[in-house]
Amino acid sequence: MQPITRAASLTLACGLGTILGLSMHSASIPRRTFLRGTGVALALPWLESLAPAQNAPRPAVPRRMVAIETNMGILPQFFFPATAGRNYALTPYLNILSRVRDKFTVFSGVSHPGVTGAHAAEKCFLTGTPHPERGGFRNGISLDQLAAESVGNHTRFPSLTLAMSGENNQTLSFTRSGAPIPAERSSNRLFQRLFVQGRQDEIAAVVEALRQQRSLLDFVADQSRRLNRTLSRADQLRLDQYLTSVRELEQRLAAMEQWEHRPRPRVTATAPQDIDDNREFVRKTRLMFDVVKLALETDSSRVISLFIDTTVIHNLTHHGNRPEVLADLRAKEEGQFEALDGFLRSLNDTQEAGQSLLDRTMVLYGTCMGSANSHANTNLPTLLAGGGFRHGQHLAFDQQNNYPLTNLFVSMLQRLGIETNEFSSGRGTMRGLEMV
Amino acid sequence: MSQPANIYPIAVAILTALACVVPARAQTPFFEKHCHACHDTSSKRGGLDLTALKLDASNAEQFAHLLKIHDRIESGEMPPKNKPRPTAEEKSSSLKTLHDVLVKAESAKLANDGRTRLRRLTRVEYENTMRDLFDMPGLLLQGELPADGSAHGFDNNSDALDISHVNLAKYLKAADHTLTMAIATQPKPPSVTKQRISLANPHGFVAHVLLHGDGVLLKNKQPDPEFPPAGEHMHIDQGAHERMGAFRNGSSVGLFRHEDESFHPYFIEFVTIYPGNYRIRTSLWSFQWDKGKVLLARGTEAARLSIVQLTGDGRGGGHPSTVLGYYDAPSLNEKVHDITTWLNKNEIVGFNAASLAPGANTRGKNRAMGFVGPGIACDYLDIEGPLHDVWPPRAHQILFGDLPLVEFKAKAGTPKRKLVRQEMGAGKNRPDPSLGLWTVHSDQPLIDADRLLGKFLPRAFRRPVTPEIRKQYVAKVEERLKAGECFELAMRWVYRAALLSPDFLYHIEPTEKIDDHALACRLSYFFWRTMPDEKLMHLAALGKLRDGVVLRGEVERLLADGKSQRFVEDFLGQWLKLRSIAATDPDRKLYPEFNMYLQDSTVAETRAYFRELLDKNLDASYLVKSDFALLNERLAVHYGIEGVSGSQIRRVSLPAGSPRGAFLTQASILRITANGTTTSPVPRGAFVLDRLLGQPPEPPPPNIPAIEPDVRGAKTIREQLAKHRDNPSCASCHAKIDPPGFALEAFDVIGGFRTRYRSIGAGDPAPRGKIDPFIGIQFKLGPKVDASGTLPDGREFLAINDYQNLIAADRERLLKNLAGQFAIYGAARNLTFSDRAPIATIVANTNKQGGGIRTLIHELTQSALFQTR
Amino acid sequence: MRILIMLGTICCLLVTPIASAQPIKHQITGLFMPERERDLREVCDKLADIKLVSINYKNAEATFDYVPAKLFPKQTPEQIVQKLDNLLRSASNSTFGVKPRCALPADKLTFVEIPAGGLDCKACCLTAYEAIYKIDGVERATANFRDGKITAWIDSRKTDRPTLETALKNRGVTIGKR
Repeated sequence: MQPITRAASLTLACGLGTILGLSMHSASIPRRTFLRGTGVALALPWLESLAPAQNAPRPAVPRRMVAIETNMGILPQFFFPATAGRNYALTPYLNILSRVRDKFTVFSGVSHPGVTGAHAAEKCFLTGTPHPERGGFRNGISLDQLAAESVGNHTRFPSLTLAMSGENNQTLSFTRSGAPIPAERSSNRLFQRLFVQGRQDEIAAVVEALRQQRSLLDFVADQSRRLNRTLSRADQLRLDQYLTSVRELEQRLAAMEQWEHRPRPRVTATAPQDIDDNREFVRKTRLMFDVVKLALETDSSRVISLFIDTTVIHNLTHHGNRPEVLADLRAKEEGQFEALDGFLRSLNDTQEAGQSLLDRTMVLYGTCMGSANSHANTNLPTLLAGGGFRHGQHLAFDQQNNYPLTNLFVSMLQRLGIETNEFSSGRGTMRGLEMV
Repeated sequence: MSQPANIYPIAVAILTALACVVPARAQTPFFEKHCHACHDTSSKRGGLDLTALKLDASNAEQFAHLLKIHDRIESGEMPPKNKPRPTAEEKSSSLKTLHDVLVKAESAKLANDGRTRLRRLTRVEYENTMRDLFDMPGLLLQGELPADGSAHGFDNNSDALDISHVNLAKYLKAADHTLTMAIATQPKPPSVTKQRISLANPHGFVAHVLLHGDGVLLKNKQPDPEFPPAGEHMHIDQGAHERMGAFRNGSSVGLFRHEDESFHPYFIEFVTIYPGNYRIRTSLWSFQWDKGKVLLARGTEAARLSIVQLTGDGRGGGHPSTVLGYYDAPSLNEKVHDITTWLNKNEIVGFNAASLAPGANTRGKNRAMGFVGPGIACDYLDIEGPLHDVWPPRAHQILFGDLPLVEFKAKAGTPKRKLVRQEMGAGKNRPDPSLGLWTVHSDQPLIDADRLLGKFLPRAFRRPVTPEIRKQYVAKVEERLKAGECFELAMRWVYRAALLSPDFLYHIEPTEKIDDHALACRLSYFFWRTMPDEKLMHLAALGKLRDGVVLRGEVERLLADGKSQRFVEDFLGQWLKLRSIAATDPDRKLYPEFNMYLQDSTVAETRAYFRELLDKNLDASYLVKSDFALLNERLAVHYGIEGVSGSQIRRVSLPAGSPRGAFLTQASILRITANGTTTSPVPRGAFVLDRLLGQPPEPPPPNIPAIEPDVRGAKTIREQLAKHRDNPSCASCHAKIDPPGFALEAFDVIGGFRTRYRSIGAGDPAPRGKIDPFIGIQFKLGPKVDASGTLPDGREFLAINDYQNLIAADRERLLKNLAGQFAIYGAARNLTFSDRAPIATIVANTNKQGGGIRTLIHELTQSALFQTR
Repeated sequence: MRILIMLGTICCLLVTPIASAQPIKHQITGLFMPERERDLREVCDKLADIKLVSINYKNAEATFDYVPAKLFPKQTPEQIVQKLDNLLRSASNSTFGVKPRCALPADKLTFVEIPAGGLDCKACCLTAYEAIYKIDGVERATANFRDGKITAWIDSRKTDRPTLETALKNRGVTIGKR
């Protein structure tokens, strides 16, 4: 299938398949919030001005989320600082990020409660669903998909699910029913989807499908009004919620149709050339990071997940403390941190309404194994950069009795403006992490 | 006004006499006499000042307040035991006054709000309805829908069922998915694949572990001479073995290894391409392996078959999984199991040697040749399907009748249609070559549309549909045809619209005394969680459903049908909270004998037991005490009951004195009411009070500061709670909550009986008991369990059996609660104050006929409570 | 009458092209233990247009009857060997093949015998065999864990025993006295 057709149907699929809007899952979301969503559905994209702007409310500067997992662990001895707080000494890996030291927070003593199973845990990094190694395991919704439900409708792509991997079909993103969302593995194809215009007939097909949906909703709304007339007053009040939902869905479909007509953002960069050799995972990661930055800059999406697969060095990660293997592994991991540093600094150097793009973008970077050598899934090396938090510290939690990483996810959701106090096993925001 | 002094006492006497005769004004004297001493402005015991009480229940808070007062007086709890009792007339007259005030306020509110309010289908109801509407029993839709809420314990209550554009978008997608599966676009059914697969299929996990000796190949129940068991050496290179056909010579696979995080036995050679019904057959047996010798097994083992969904392109594994069941593997005696099940695209069959202990050690120096232990052998898996007895399939015929299929030819002006190519799955089975795109053809489209919709809409909307409405749908078909679409797509448009309309998504119950069609729906959703079938609809159309005999007959028919299992699962899942069976994790060190086989068996036990109570019409005492249990071998071993062999659940008479059998002491309930590590009498007691006895305890009062009891010196949870109970403000509730919890302390987190607590660290060595010899025991025996207690009325009990006897005697209360639960579930609404009398009547009528649970259901369905909104 | 028949037969013989099936010897890979002879026969039964005449296990050779000009028209002898190799591989899950004849005369080859331990399993023997048979300089080899040894006829200018042992060890074969 042509990449553009896939983009078109992906938009449609994302629009209808990914839940657009506010989560029904959390009982703590008050009603006023989900009704308020109606006004947001027509919000204009941030970086493009559109003719009928007139009385449309000027939307706030958007916030974004990028969640990254590298699946074969990070050597803890070169990552975790010895002391907690603000004045910790930079460790070899963190030293690579020294230029953005005050823009990230490093965590220790955190993990997902109940998530075990060594490598099986890699699919639970953003979901926190326990016991992925057990028969009958069913994953839950991932952090990025939950965020996309709320903020996804502002952008052409509600979310981007990416992977830097070879053969394996890993992904960080899972739907409500636990189904994995296939990841885009080619940075070239991603570029095409984001910035290369679709063919006229493909756009026409998507628009036609959207129009049919809307006309269907129109008909259904008529039927509801007919039914409404036969109901008691109490029942009419109840059915009103249905009518409201029909209207809201129509508006969302209308917005999606508008996206189809809008030309894609123009960028001066050229499409990257994919690298085939899986051993070059650092270079492949850099390519992905470049396109991700473009996606953020052009507000093509505000929710991105990236799975970095380093299975090629799996054998190295079982170093057994052999010095020469450790040295080799360290060199490779340092390469990964250099790529991350490049990404963070490029975001930091880009300005947006008086702040840096990094200040508006949360970047979560971590791994599912605290020690790949022993397959332990506790004490996960994790850091959070940017997004609008008070950074520059090492938040150390109990290494014997880990603090739930999902609490950090609650903080991240709240930072995006989503009113919730729970996510998966998380029951509140992360202690010690303040929003600014 | 001056009165002669000697008239005053007479006046008082007259007034008092009047007070007895005129109840409406007797209220204040009752409170003055019996309540004001403690509940006045100065003392305000319990925060209650009755001197300021107004008999006005017009808002919810006041209503709840008056209700509480009413109930406390009724139960005799107030005035407290040590105060003078009110006379019977005093009590009944004050209760009547309160009753009238409450009923009046409630009627006014209900006239406005309605009792059963308009509600949409729950997720379960939606999926079942779609499955039955299209006759596609395995259609998977629930997982994609947002979770429903819960109100009054159940999800089918209007308050629990909000709707948003999220739901609608999902319903759109679900309708599309269903229509795509239902509509045939090929002239012939897919050819039936018949495949025989070995558990050691190529590139599979099992073939890999066979090299290491976690299993062996067997021929004629002896080690396969062409594949020696791994010993000092292991086999090298899985690929070479596959190329040499080592796993393809018809040998059976004997496994010693239970599934774990690195090992998932799948029958991966068949990956479903065409959704439909499939016949599966497997042959299983068990054996004892002794360093190369195949001997008689320790007993019948059990294997688990499940349906596993492969991801995306079919390569990655294992999400999500449905258990097909557990199947016996008798000792050295193969048993053939036949199963028919629906498979969706990309699903495969998974396997697990479920009754073996996880982590059995076959990786010693001599691998399999050094291993002594049990194994489960699988001779083959035969799979055949998809099975279509008609073509186009019934789902298609429901939409298009017997209109012919012709090859699709795009005419000028019609939108082109893309042929959906059947992709190759990851298995050895291959898709049929495509015969082009076929579509249903009509010579008189509008007439056919009218006819087809005339059949479909009433079924989908579960009631007759007026011609005006049908014409609106047909008009849309005409519109689509004029836009150039082919007949199939035009019809698809209106079918989708029908499935999205509120007529389909909502339970429509037009009048207060619901009409026959709504009654048919209430019955079918109560007992089958789905739309009414043809017979019910027919009876409703004839107006016969309200006839007592006919109605009774229908209830019997619905309960006897296999679909009533949905009622058992859905009702118990919520009433006894079985849905949260997996919410906690038993600690691996404390409860090493826990496994999924046990978990699945405990759920099956509860369901089978409920089914037995229904079928044998047993009375409510069986909720808490029984002389029989529904068990399989795994449960029997867990409960210490002898003489049960095999994986299937069956009725077993319990030895005298066994506390097992009833819900109260079933492992599922005991698990749900504990966390993974410890038990606590408080959640268990609260569960018994709330779910079984119908007396939910109050939450702790918010404005009383949390008292930090001194728990230093306390050793067991019981001792800690004793300190809590010493505080009178806590005691009033804990006197009720604790006793059942104490009695149930006799059972641990996974429902096993104990006389001593398990502990990690300090304690005496623990005997193995019936725990599998391969499971390492790290826990020790800690303090003794004290399961004695005192009921609020003063009666004492020493152990769980005594407690059971005491509350089993309270059949009335148990039956009344169950009646309430059935009513809430069946009528899809909360019970109001005015429902108390009808419920009491239903219970009384049931008791007159022996007090059985099936009788209760009949009494309920015959009552006005069930038949009105 | 008899003369006519004789003349007819002679004419037929003269008219029939002379390129009839001839027995051609080839070097076979995959004959790593005696039981493989029977396997080879089973595989060759599946081949159309080629008939297996005989097998010389000791020299890892087999003789076939076929018409090269018909089956492989316009192919050089080297190409024919390659095509036969492909044919045999596809028919045998790549466990049998054909390789070019050895350039060296037999008395110039060195015999190597390596004691090895493993399961008496044909596929394991195949694995051991495949560890070494493609090494440049290995002319032919056998592997049989029942006997506990791996043998090879090698060109000692191109390879040596330690190379074989390393290759075997890397494949997971246990070398040395049992």
